[in-house]
Amino acid sequence: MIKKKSRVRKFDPSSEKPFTVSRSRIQGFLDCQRCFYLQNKLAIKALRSFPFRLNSATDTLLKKTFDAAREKQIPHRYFKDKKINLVPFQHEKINEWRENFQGVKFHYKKANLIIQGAVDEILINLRTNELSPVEFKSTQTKEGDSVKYLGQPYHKTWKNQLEIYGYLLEKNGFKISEDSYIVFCNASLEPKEWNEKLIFDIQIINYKIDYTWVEDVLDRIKDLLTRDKIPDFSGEDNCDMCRYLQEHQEIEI
Amino acid sequence: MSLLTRTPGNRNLKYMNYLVADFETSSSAVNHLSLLQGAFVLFDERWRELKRLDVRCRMRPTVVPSIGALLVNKVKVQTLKGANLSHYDAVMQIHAFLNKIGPVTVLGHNIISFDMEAYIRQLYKNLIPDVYHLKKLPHRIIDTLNIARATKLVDDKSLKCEISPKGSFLFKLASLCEKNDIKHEVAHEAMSDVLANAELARIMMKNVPEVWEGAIKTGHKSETQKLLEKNKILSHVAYFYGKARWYAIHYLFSHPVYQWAICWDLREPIEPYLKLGYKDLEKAMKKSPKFLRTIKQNRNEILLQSSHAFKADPYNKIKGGEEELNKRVELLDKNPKFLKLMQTILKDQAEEKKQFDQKELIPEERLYLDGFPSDSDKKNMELFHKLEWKDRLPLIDKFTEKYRFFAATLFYENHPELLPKSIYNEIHREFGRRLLSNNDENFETVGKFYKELDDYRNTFDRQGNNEALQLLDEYDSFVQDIEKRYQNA
Repeated sequence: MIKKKSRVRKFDPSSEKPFTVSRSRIQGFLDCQRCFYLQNKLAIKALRSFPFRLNSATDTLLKKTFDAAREKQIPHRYFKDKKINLVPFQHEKINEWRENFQGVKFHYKKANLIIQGAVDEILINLRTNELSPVEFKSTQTKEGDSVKYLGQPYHKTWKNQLEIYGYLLEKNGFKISEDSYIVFCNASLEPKEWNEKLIFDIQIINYKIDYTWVEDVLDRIKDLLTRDKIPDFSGEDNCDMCRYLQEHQEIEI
Repeated sequence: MSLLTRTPGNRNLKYMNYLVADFETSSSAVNHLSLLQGAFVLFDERWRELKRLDVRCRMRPTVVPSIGALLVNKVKVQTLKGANLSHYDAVMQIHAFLNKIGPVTVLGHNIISFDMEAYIRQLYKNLIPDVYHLKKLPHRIIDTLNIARATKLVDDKSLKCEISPKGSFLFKLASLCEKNDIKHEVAHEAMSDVLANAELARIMMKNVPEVWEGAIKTGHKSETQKLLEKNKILSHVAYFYGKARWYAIHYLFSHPVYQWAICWDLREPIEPYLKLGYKDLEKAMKKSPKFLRTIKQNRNEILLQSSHAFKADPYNKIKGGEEELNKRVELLDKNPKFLKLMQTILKDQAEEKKQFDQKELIPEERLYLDGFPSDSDKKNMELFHKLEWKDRLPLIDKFTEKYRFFAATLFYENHPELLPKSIYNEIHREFGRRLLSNNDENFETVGKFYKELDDYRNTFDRQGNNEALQLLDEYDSFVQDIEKRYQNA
């Protein structure tokens, strides 16, 4: 067994305290159980990705514009343009719910796990009082219009994200709409001159959420965390890290 | 968060959208047919419908239909002549739709052998430069016919099948739908087939996910190749003489000419062949049952883990079992000279065949032979579609020979009044020569049509099927008009 001192948060089977599992860790479990186990049971931290500051900047700016619409309780102009009559949800905890490492929380007692996810925005239908989670995504891609069909395998992560937010909000006592949204900001390469500005093409992508799968996954997460055996390498379809390590190992042999 | 990082697992192919597709056509001759209807439904990975397209068009005026195909599709002459869209516009509309839906796993029943080939050829003749756009990653193409056969073989109870008089399972879409309680409103109506096939796919995916996932893994030729190279032994589901069977195969090399994967059937021991010289080995390679198995990487062959074949006859009766089969693999891998000799023999055979196949092919039949269009042809194709018909005319003579013929044919079919007399006559004569030919051509001719008409008339007469006889009369008069048009060509 690998021994390692680490400050990474890990599951302690002897503790009665609930173990916190963030939205991204749930995704980690869905992606690769072996990597999830290494991180959450053995505290071997996954490799960090680069901080995507430009994306975070668009997030921050988008949040500001949604806050302005929240104050006036009117639909944000992107949604108004699409004739989607939803307004940013006003709630005392809205900033906490949108804050990384805070987010919307729920104690799933059956598995003694605290589930946490920071949502980018929440909209409300004032007529039905149903909430719609919203996720901001910004990038530069040639995929353009076809993104709205969310057909890339990695789009599954986005769908899971929205469904986990829907689950968390419902568990916090709110009525949830099946309509969730992605505000997709695609930087244009068309301008001939730079002018120190990025111009974005904005798409509002509707996704019908179904979060009936979440609790089954949470039960499976708990089951995995209580096991003593590291899961086998995932297939190469599932995990780049496992594939990399396995191929590395084969060469060393 | 807006980070667009690719987390490790999110390239799992089972999370792609599905596009279920089907075409109804004027005949089964893929190089020469005309589309009559194309239907497409885009689903997400949970099989929720996202978008659909249903296109019907007039039959190309340079084509004679096959009565068999028309009867199967239950098409009326009114549709062949009077549908709103021209064939050219229908192909352009379908192409534009398929270009906008993002990455998909395309599926259909017998799509690999027929629908996809028919579609590619329509793009080719419509002067679309990138005819293989759906065959490129990240798209994948899977065939529910292959999947149904394998699903039934892996788990007999997973799918109910009709049994033919010869005792084989039938895998026709209409029959599978009937036996498995799948709603199939009008068989051979493209949209109805698409919706029924989507339901069949869902059933197979749920009942035997291993086969479904296996099919997705061979949905692109490069991934099939990787799968073959990475696995010492795979179980291949082969289907012939009305029966699906297991083969335990080991990948040896790519065919030196055709690039197909050449594999060894592990039922056959290696030793008896190792010391054979060229002539004897060549002879042995021709004998049946063949020890070399060919996997065409772009055919969505179902390749599963080795244990399936190990449990099947005759592999389960081999003395030494799995260990012996592994030894055979090792022996093959340790004898590169033996593999090289087989490659040489296959290469020589292919060269010989090439010299034998010297028949001159007409432009429609030269898609694979000629390869990709030149840069200049590509440029002219792109320009062609951007212009109005009247402005396209000068482009005809800028294309190289084959594409010039297609461009002129498009004018002849859509705006003959714009063509200069000389080009009009050239194309008119060419199709007159073809359609009125009395030779045994590999496309429908007026002669073939009348022969088919007589056969069907006799059958329906005997059956007293007046409704069908009336339909035949309509087809007859439709083709008589085509005949008249070309008689003085």
